[in-house]
This record gives sequence, structure tokens and C-alpha cells, in this order.
Amino acid sequence: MQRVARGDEDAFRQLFARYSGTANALAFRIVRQMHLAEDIVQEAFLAVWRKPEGYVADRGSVRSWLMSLVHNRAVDLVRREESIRRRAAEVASDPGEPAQDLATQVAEQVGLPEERAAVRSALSDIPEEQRRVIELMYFGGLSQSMIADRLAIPLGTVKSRSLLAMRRMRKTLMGMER
Amino acid sequence: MNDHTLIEELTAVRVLGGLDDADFRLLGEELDAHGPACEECRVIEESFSEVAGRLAFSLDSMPLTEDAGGRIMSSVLGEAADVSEDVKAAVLQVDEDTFAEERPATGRGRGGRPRAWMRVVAAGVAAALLLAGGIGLGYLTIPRGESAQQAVARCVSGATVTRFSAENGGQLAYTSKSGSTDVCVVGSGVRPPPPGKVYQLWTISGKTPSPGPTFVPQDGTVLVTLRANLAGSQLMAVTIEPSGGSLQPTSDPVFTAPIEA
Repeated sequence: MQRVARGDEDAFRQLFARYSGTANALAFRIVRQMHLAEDIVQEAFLAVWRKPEGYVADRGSVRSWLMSLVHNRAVDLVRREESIRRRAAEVASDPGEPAQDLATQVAEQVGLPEERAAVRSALSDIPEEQRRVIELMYFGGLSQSMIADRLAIPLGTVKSRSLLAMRRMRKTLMGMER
Repeated sequence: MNDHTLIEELTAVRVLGGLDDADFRLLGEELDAHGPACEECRVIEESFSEVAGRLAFSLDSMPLTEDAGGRIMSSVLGEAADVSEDVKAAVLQVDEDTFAEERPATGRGRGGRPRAWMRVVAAGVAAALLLAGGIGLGYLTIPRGESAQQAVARCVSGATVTRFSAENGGQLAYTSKSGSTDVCVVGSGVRPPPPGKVYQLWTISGKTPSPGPTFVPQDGTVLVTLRANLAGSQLMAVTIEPSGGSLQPTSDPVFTAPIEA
């Protein structure tokens, strides 16, 4: 990121090759439309390039920061009524099998399989009812009150399940127990 | 529930994107009450943000199509690639009178014929840009938040010119203005670096080099704008470095130019 902050295009290309696939997967999971997901990925990487100072190394990893940029944009988008309407209309559509960039695929494989395995393991370790809340909130773009309605549970339960799940994953992924 | 448990609970929901407006305000109030120096609040925020960001990696990668990837890269890096018309216009605005009027009597324009040489370079750059037809414009680093035309025009207007001594041929010069951090490096006939290598600018104070941007000439043309505080530095140099640049020079300079107080 230091190189990106200096305007190093090669460094930016490496960052893009490494994380754009995951960024696209996250955006698509939330907005459910390929072209909207691509727009979100574009916006997020544009933000990285234009305002690299947004990343502060002491506060976390580049990958988490980058995915938070994607996630925030995707959630903002699905919360808008218009996008929700379109999403509902197209949620069942199959995006097909696009021709993928081989170089990007190769670049992304460096180190990321282990990360995927670790995060999946952490998710699988939390109780099903907590995982359900996490999935609806983070990947579904639903607010706490929407989830309470959807699952017919008290709002306080949604919050407490979120907290317990995050604490557990923090312990598993970061070794932090509080 | 102790006071940090509430913050922890609300932060957990917030980083997952699920916080409603009322609770968002409540979280803000709680954080304000603890103050920005609260270490516990900082750890909660940072650790939960880290966990939330990593959740994305539970998904299978969905690589962008070649078209989409190319379009996005072009759009993002278009700050360099899509400004050819702006740069062309800006460079064409540079005429010899601009440099002649501002060239100091101290001989800062080095090499004996800076005015004539600059005329050649400016013309060469303009010609190269015209010939490039908007495809290649050499290398351009534009300060963020500024258009290419603004950057180049601001950089060269009313500037003095200092010529680099060249070890391997080619012509390179930088423009600077007293009291300004705007610096423009222009050149022509500069050889391409070896494969996998780039040129990198340095300012040198005493024996300490400070890294600057990297660049790769296109068709021999160099056009780099940057902001640099030259005060306290005595030398500007260009070395050949691995792609991506270096924090310390790894080779001898191929271009050097004095920085005069």
C-alpha cells in the first residue's frame, strides 16, 4: 500500500489482481447483479487509488480495509429502494460463466486459499443461529431490524447473536479473547 | 452490561452493515462519551472491522471478466491514461517565452542553452503527444485531486529550468518555482529502461536520498509532474530500479541535476 500511495501503478495492478476476484464475489453476493457488482468494484478500487491515505496500517489489514470499501458500497446500494426492486427482479437470473482473466486467477491464488479455509472454518465454528444472522446481515445486506422481522426474533437477540458470533470469530481468526 | 459491552455489541452490528439509524446515533454518543483516546474502544473497532473484512474471503473468488477488469483498470488508472488530450493541450500552451522570462540570472538553467533546449523539448513533447494520438503520453504522475491539464500548466508556467547531466544519452530537465513544491520533469530521447526496470527520481540531501516517483519513457518522451519540497536538497538524480521502485537506490544515477537554493 505504501507503493500504491506513491502512485505506483504496478503495485496497484498487483493489488487489483490479488483482491478483485474476492471483491467482485462479495459485491455480487450482496447486489446480485453482475454489472452492479462490477461498478462497486470499480468504485472501491478507484477510492483506493485516489485516497490511499484512507488505509492506516496500524488499524488492520489491507484486505479487510479493501473489502470494507466494497461492502459499504454494496450495502448502501441494496438499501436503496430502486436497487432492491431490480435485485428482486433479477435475483434468479444466472450470470453465466464469464471468460475470466487467467492472470488475475493465478495472482489471486497466492496465499488466499489458506485465508478462505481459515475464514470458512471460523464461520462453521459458530452456532447456526448466529451464523444465520451474520449471513443475512453481512452477505444479505439486511439491517438488524429487517433480520428481526425476517427471523421473527427480538431485535435484542439479533444484536446479541451478532456480538457473540463476532467475538467467536475474532478469537478464531485473530486469537483475541476478551 | 458494562459500558464497553454496549459499544462492542453496537460495533459488531455496525461493521456487519446492519446498524439502524437510532443505534448508529447511540453508538456515536457512547463513543463520544468515552473520548477518542479510549484504548478499549479502539481495539473493539479495529478488531471487529478486521474480522468483518475477512468474512469476504469465505466466498469463492469471482474473477472479473477480461473486459470488466480492463475497463476498471482503465477507468482507475485513467488518471494517467485518459488525460492525453488534456496533457497535449497543456504542453502546447508552453512556449519559449514563458521560460525565457523566468530564467534566472544565476544560470540555473544549466547546460548553456536551456532556452533553446527547452524549446526543443517542449516541441518534442508536444510532437510526441500529437504523434501518440492519445494512446501514449509517456509517463505522467498527477497529484490526486487535480486534472492533468491543471497539473502540467501549473507546473511549467513561469518555471525555471534545470538540465540534468546524462550518463546514457537523452535529454532531461526539471522545472521549479521559488516558493512552490510544483516540479515538472520533462525529457526526450530517453532510452527505455531494461525489461522489468523503471526510472526513479530521487532528491538527495547531503548523502541521504529520498525516493520519488518512477517513470518509463514512451517513445523517448518523459513527462512527470510531482510535488516535491526541494529546500534542503542539493541534488536531483534518476536511477534505474526494479519495477515498482525502491526505497534506496540500487544503481548509480544515470541523470543528475543540481538543486540550487
